[in-house]
Amino acid sequence: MKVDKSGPTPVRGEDAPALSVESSKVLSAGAKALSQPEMLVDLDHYLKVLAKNDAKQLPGSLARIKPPKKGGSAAFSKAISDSLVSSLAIMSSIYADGFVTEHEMVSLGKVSRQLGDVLALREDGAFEMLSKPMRQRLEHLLFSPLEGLIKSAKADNHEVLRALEHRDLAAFSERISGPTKFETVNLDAVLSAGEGASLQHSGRYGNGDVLLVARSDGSTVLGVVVGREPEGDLRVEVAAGESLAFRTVDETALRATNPLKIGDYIADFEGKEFWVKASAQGALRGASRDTQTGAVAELDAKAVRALARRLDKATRAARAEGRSTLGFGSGPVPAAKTKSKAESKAGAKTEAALMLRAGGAETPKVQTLERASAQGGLFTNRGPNKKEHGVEYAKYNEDAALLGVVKGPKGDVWVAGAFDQAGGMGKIPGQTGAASRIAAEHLLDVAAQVAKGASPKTALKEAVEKAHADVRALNEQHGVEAITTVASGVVVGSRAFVVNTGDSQVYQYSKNGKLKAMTLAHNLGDEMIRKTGDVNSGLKVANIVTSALGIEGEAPKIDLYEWKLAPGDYLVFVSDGVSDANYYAQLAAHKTKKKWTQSGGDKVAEDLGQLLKKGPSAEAATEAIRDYALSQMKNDLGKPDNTTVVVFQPK
Amino acid sequence: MRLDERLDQLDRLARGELTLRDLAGLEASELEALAHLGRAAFESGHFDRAARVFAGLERIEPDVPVHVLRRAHAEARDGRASAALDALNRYLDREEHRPKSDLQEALLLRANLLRTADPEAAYHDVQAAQILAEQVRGASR
Repeated sequence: MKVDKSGPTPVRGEDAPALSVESSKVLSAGAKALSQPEMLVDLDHYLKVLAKNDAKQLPGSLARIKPPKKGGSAAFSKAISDSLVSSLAIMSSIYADGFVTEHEMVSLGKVSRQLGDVLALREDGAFEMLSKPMRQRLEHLLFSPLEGLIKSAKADNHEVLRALEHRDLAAFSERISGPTKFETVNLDAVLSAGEGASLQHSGRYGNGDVLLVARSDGSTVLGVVVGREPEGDLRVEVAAGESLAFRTVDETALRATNPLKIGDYIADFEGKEFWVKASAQGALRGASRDTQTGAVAELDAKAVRALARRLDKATRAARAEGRSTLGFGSGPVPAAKTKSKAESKAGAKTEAALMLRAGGAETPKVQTLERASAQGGLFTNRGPNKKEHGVEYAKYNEDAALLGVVKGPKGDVWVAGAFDQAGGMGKIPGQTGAASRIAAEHLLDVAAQVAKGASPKTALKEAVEKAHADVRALNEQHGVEAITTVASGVVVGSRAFVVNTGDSQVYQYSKNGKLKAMTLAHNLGDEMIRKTGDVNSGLKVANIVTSALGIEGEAPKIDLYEWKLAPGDYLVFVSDGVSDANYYAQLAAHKTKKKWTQSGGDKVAEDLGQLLKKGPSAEAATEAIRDYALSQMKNDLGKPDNTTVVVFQPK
Repeated sequence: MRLDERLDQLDRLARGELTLRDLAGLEASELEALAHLGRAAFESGHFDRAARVFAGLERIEPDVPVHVLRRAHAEARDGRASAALDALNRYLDREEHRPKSDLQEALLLRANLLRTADPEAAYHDVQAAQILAEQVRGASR
């Protein structure tokens, strides 16, 4: 059997795990056993008995192995044996180069099924009719090696698949949540008849596009185009629980959900410009120039509908007239209006006004936001990985991070936060980090409310309460117990209003790195320290969160703070991936009786001050804190965890 | 497989006559039945059997913290303090939410087990349990 390695995409990376030593041994033993002449004789006899009794057809894939026209059952058993040996060779070759293509994954599945089918022969009644020595030989030479092989192969396949899925999922998340690259769409080009690609293959949607994909319940989900089927349908990757699923979608259906697509920049629609993007909930949204200084406002629904109508009308007209043009793809594309530098800058500003990284999203590097009033940096990811840090915490990120600015009548209102989820969501398909996402979304809304005149403290408190109710509803819906922390705040002028529930932290430093204020962590370790005054008393209970959003029958403890900010001060929002950066160090010291005289948390606060003292920007500060936390984990000083840092610095 | 056959298997698992490998694909109702068997074994004084059941449940459902706590109780009552402490540390070191009443129970059990070997740690556990108790009382008022 020839293995097709010319498959479509090098989906799978170079570091796909190779076959384990154990499986290699089993493979080798299996191949050897399968070539034993005795086994062939026994198998031949067995097949005869099976055929004679004909209790049932040969199972599954074996039935598809055609016996040679000449040679009878002996040749048939040889054909089965050859097929099995070939299967083993396929498995070896697939794993050997450490590079698994999509086609190979399909081959592995088939091989696995075939081996399973051979094993199923043992279950058949005819097996019992063989003589005992023959049964023992078959068991020894055929079934036992196969059983071991399947077991090992399953474990290897699982490992390979898991590794691939996580790698692909990371790339997918990055594409979905990464910055959008806007390209000019000339509506006149879309709508006017002319030359170009056909309607069926307009080229309007291509690899890498982030699109809305319809679901059976009428809602939509974000997907990434990864290829095109021979028939012309598009292959789209969508998130499915902790992994990815492929959907084949025809272009007409995609056009229905994406009359405009994410990344479209429309230079002139009824006298306005629009940048098209999607909300975290998977709805088409956009920003107009009018809203560039505030939150990315929802694209006016009327405008979207009008645009869709124009597009549909043009499509229908083209079809009716037998024309096959949309002006995209390989055909001549009418000259698009190029964005001026000023326009590009305006677009970029609008895009960056709010950064919400949640629901499993990660930032490969620090993301920044700057206005005349302040600057900020944001980083969130799954934490350490084996390759770089020698230790791994999780295959995904359940923290969320938030940084944004809304222009209000009295000036900019900034919002920031770090949110750390624990438990529950692993069981919920497509809901990685759902609880922390809910919390971050509610806190995000606070900026707009405050910009419209709401009291910051009231808005923060209400947002936490609403988020708690929503997380509870989610937990009840899915039968889980997810909880999340909130360490967030809004800044209005020179005042910071901070809210905290759980063991994430907010710190305020001067521009020289002097700690001015910090929140109280809601965990038993810190509460022990506050009660006893002994900085080592809470070490063994430091993992116990005493308040958070989402706990059944328990309202979250909501701490509100108001801090006065000076220009150059830093507000630092972190999950416990950062605030526990000295936990293992203190624990180790405690075990050797070299007890610390300050708490691990206080040591982290001190360390962060030293980092911030170096300046010179929020971006540099965010990078420095990220590197510090990951380095502590790498050196077995900090507790490995998802890692989130958001730094805000007023000018 | 019929439920009564599965229950019989579960019981054999509890007696150590079967291994987890023999029990593939347990359904939720069967897991509940297994937990019930574990509790019944504990209540009837068969602590070794209860510990085995909860150890099995811990392996089958690693994301359910209460199995670990129950195992700790069973190990402790069966006289295996070290195994009980291991289980308690695993339970208390977890990230997931655990009810405060269960946490208090775990802390007090650990304090009891540590009271001779490490009185300071035992005292801290009692203090931590007190803090939780105060919080529970405060929340219920």
